[in-house]
Amino acid sequence: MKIAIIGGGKVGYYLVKTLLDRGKHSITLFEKDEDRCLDIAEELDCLVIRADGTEVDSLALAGAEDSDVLVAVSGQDQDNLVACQIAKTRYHIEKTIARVNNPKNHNVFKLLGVDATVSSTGIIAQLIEGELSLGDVHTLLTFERGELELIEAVVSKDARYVDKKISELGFPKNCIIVAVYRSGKVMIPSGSTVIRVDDKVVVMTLTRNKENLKRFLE
Amino acid sequence: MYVIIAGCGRLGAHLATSLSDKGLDVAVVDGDSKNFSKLGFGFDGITVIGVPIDEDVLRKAGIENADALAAVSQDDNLNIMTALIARDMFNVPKVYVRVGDPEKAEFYRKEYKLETLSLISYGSDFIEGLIKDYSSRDRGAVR
Repeated sequence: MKIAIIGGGKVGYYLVKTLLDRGKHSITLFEKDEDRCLDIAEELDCLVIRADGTEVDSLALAGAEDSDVLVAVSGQDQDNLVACQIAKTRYHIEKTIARVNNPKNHNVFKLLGVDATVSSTGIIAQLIEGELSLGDVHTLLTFERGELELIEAVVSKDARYVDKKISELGFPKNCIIVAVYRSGKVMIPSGSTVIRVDDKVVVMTLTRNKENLKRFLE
Repeated sequence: MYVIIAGCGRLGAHLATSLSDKGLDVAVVDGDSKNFSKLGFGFDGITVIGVPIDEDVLRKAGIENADALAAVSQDDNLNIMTALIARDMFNVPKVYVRVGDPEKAEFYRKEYKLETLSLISYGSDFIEGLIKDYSSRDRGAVR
């Protein structure tokens, strides 16, 4: 794949390294600081351009206008946004991915046309909350830009669906049980699988149905 | 009329003071409170400390009631993002964006319909005009 990366800080650097380890990619990295550029160019097998990747001509001048993906991982959300917008609108790059430092900016970026956003702060907060959630229902993963969630719940003995077949449960709409863990074993269930106490069920649900699902599970 | 000025550098401060003196309601947003000292003692509006791309900061500055917003910091990209949030998320009727880089100003004006102002372009064109006037007067050349 041909990849353009804006930002040669820690994230950009490790991203290049990781991508090169994973496959044959042609990577162009844009970084403003000269010393940083020299260090990265010396060590990694990618084209390093000392330039502001958010200038309108930058990608073209570097020969990266036909990239398959543009990834903006600088430390500033506004720079990442502009890089993605220019990539999409001027260069018609199909996929744009931006790092967002402030998790609140996910919505803004989505509204303004960025395909995917990643916030490590958001993920870490989710992990923290996942570990500390009260009650036995918690979110494992969110994807499709927040529209789909994977939820895990432990079946308690008071649950009304204990000892019932999945097909008889009257499960809420837009949710599906994708896995059941029981005594260290994982099962992909079918309609005739019976749910028992202490089972851990993993459910895929549309985020907008999450509350219904939670009420059902508790 | 309620105006939000995002960025209290020399331009922002001058603009905010001028508008406030004319009786408009002004709110100034800047991440560094020291910059508010540029506003002078007579300044009649409100100041909000924070980054203008933060929804909460903008709400604190009253963006939901704003008639206009001018994004005038020295950071082009910050101004662009602020303007897009103001217009597309908060539906502020009039949004003005300072973008120093002439190509970027033109790009965002054309592709995103932002009211961008490249002071570098204007300043350069203006001075060029003065120089042309001067040289044609002096030598009688018609240009």
